[in-house]
Amino acid sequence: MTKTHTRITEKPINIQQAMAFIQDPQHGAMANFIGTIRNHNVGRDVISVNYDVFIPLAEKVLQDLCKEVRQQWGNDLNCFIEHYKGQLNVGGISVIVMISSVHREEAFKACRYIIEGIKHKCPIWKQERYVDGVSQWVKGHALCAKT
Amino acid sequence: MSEKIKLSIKFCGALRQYVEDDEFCLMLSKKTSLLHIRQLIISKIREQHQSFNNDSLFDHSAFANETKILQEDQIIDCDSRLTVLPPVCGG
Repeated sequence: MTKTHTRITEKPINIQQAMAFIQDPQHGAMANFIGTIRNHNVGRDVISVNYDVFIPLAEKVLQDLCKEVRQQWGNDLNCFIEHYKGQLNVGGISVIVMISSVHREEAFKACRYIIEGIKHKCPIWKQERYVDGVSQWVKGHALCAKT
Repeated sequence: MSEKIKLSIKFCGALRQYVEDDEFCLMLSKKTSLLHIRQLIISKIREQHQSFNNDSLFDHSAFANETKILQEDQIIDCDSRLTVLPPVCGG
């Protein structure tokens, strides 16, 4: 039976918890993406990022992404996805995508597909705060056709 | 007299700065399109923020309920709760 965990969380993301969830004696591969806050963006020094999330739709998008990767790369994938909501300092973990599968090809591809899906489809926004005290919302990908 | 419906609109991300408490209400004629609602929102924001000049942000924002993005030509014909989603950048 496959395992799925998708959540928007306001608690620190726990990598060990993700690994413990995803492990499967029938699987020989685990692929993961861990997003962290870096200290620079487009030439500015970042000190923190605040994530805003429209939670009900975001969690549905994460569930849909799991369904899509199983349709493409097999029903036996295990999926663990969490995205943080709230403020994170530099080094903080904003997102984790962890996939396990029988072989590595499916795990790598599913993992990449999901993180790209999060970036382009999930209702999540980030506001960067810089060392000079200024805050700015990061430009993103429109979810609608331009009017 | 046309029947009115109540539309509660929540804002996310960069749009929050234009509304108090991240949400406001509109009383509309029944069977109003999202396209028209978008224009009404921009007008109302402009009333409250004299220096508002960010039409592009609203033009590129999507309407959604809790389970899906809504199409622009969708007609709203009952009291509803919608959320306006600016361009996304998670991860």
